Amino acid sequence: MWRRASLYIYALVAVVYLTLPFAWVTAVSFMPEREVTQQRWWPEEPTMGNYNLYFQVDGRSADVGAAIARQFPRAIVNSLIIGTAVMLLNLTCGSLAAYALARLPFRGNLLLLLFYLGSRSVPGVAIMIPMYLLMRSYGLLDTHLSVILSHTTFTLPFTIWILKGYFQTVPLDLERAARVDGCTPLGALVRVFLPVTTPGLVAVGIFAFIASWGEFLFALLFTTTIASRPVTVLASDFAQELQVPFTVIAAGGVLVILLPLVLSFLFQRLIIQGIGGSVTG
Amino acid sequence: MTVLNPSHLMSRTRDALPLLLNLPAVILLLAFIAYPIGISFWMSLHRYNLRRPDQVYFHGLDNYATILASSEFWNALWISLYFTFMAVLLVIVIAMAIALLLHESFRGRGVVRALLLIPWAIPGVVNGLMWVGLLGDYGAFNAMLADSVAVVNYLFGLDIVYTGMASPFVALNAAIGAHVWRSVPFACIIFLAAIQAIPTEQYRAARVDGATSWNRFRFITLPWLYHAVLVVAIFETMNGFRAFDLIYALTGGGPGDATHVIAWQTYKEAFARLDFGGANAYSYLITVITMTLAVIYIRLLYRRGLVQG
Amino acid sequence: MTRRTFLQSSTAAGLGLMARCSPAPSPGVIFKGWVYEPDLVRENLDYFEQQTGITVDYNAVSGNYHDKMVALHVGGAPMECCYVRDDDFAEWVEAGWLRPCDDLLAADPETSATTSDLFSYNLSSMTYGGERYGLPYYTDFNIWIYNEPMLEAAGFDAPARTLDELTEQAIKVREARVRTPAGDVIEYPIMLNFRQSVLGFLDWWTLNYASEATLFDDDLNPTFPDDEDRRAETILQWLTDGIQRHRIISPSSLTAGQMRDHVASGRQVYGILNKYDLEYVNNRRNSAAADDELKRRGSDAQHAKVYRMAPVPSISAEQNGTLGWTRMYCLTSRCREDRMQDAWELMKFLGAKDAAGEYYTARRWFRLRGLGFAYRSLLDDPVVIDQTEQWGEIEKVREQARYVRPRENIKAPWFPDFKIYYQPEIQKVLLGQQSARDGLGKIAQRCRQLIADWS
Repeated sequence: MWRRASLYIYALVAVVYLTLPFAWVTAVSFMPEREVTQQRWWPEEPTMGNYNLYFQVDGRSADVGAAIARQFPRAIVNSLIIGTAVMLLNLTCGSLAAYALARLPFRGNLLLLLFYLGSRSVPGVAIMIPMYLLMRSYGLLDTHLSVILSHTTFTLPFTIWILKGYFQTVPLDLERAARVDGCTPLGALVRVFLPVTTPGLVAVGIFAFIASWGEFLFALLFTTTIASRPVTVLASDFAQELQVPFTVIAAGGVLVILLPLVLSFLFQRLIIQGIGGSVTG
Repeated sequence: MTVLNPSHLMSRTRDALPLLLNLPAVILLLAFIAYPIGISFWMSLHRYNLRRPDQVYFHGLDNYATILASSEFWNALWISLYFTFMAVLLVIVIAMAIALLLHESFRGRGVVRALLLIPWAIPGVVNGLMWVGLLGDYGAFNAMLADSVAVVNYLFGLDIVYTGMASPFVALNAAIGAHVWRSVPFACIIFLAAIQAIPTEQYRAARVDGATSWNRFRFITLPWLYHAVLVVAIFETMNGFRAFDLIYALTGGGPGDATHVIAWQTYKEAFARLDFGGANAYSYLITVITMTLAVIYIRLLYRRGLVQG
Repeated sequence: MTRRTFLQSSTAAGLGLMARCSPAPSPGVIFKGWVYEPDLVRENLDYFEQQTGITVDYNAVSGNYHDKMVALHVGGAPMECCYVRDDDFAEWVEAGWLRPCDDLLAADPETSATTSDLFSYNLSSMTYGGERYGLPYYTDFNIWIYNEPMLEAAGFDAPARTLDELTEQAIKVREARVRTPAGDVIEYPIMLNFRQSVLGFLDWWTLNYASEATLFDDDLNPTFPDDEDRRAETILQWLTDGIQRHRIISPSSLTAGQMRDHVASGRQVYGILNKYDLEYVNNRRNSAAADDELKRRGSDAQHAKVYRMAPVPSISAEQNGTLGWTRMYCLTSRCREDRMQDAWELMKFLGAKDAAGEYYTARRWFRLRGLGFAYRSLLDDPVVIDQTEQWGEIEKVREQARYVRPRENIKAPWFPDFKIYYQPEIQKVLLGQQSARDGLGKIAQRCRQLIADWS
């Protein structure tokens, strides 16, 4: 009996640890400005005012930051476009490379693995400026593509590593059967292999999407107008130079988090299976 | 671990196909990472300060020599090592604790599992802002810390003055705590999967032998998790050395130089001093350090025969 | 081909992409600024376009303005005109990104005439190597503020004038256990802004200039820690004692960024503010302190003069001074020849007078947002006087405006290196990790080394 009880206490501690910081921010986002300074955990007079600021499309509000807040819907669309493209690029390039690494023995495969790992260990600040110049010379600045490409480069190595591990867990018999039936290696990959590995693919896809959604440095550097600017950059506009009340920042934070949160809840099972499976195979 | 022996599936002569399959990824990474890295290495061999555009010249390894001779570098390296070590350690311990919990069956486990992903889903910038709020003067966590210090003072008759983020000790460790919080879910997912892969017969046998739960953890669970722990350690070491966004938002490097981690130092070289030569040399040093650590980890993996070539 | 252009273009060259694909050039004047009230900026520009028929391609730059602009300048982004902070001014001139405007001023007597109307600290902040680069966007100086009702509650009818008096007064205020509008006892009567930040740490200069300290000589060699009467050391020691010994200065001074909101919440008895924030902290819309006071009086006015302005406390009573800063508009060195005249028209409209001969933009910023202005004559403008009197006292503003100085070494080419070095060192003194004398000594030594490196 006491073992049950202690298990639930243990679970409660874990839940509190995982949710408390975010729960507080959510609570603050419903507080009127003057309540913030009182170190409250719960809004005494809850208000939607902080959120309304982000969805006022009418005219020019006198509130500081309203100009930025009004661009939010557009920025969310930008983030969606960028995130989806990053996900697709990761899945195509990643699954091809990972399949080769997992299944087809060839010289230099260790070298490739190290190359992928190495490209992930470079700090972003190191390549920011050269990458900026590169994007400029391609004429890609302030386009979705520049952000998509940069996000793909830092998510891809991870995708390949995880997928390679995941692919190795799939029994060889499946493809062997397909090959016996006369499939080419590529045919075996597309028709037999990929359907079986859906959990892994979904997991890395969501992973890449969320990483792209949350990335900031490159997105900030490469975009200048709302034509391409994603939502994290917009959110930081509030915080950095404007003296916007923390309640409004909190509301913006909650809005930015909403989609990744829903995605991770929906695909929770697949993510845990997919990512987890890859390292235990 | 399934040991694959695919050699009879494919013949060795067909190296072209796997290389072809890797081509899109390699091209992307070469063009957008390897190339900038090459350029930045070339820059790191130059005196190249934007404030002196007419004095750009090659001077070999001078930037590296200057950095290695500066006390700022060693101070930053030391802080980064502490930061990374603590972060890796805490992530492993906390993620392991939660993974062990999620392995048990109890009502509401699905909910806990879903909540596990919250910290991970939060973008870095938002995470920074959130902790600024939590630990700031009006933050709920700040109030909690202040209260617990007051309780400790009362219980032990001490007179510790709590100064919040103005204390170098609190600032550095709070930054680590915030960094760890966001990193736990990923590690936890990996641990959970690894735990679930442990054959249950082993536990049964151990129970029959009368092993305590600690011994079961120590002699069965841990060895099985060796691989997972190393994978987490690799990724977390890299993340620890690169920690920047959070420091930028949360402490701005202060108080004093308590949170001058190495990525922050690099950023200051590049954007505060506009010394692109020095900044690129800094980034190279970070890359070399993280790569060295990564190679050590990978060698450990290989030695245990846990990765197939 | 210089090394620099080589390095810059080597990215492109390596991929055989020397032919750059550039988008169609913008038809208007390309103008960039940091994100502050982009809607109001656009309104001003609409009015300008209407007045002159020139189109402006305006874009507010997100994120850290300095860093993002460095990237834009390095990448050669097309741009005629941009906002510049005095902090970055010398750096950007040295990097070759800005264009002097003496020739345009010389050809434009009407705008030249406004030069003599500028406060001297603004003019000097816009001039480098004898050449004029900018016209003012906004400017302001730091002021000392005190909460009058709280001082009265503690039994004082005037704020302390010297630092020693301030120590005594603040201890008594703390012992009187005055309360905030939310009902909390105020633990630390004073909070200052000593957070590390590229634009921050201005309170250090404010306190030094209040005591008429000279930190650098005419050749920008450091004079501290052995400046006249060791004023810098005295002030730093006073700050450290205030935090560590007397506990009258909040330790949060090292971390808190948003001084204005802290003051507005009524948690502060004394402090240093941007002058234009005095309106904010006395406006009941933002300020619990003002709202509380107005409720007590049963008044339905918008402003209450809860916080009042006073000379910044100094080592001895006859000293007076403060720090001022300048935000300006500059032409970039990439300004296209055929847009030059249009860009200059825009500069004039924003930074001097509009087609009707009015300081249109400066007045409008003051009217709508209280931003400070660089032109002396505006201190006699009836609208300015009237509005200032609602939340402050024009006489005190005029008096303080006579003693404003820019940071002495702000135009040294090594200022950015200095900036990232001195802030942590001063903080270490405040934390008690090193003595005031040692900290200042180290900073002075670093300055001498930087001077040698950069000469």
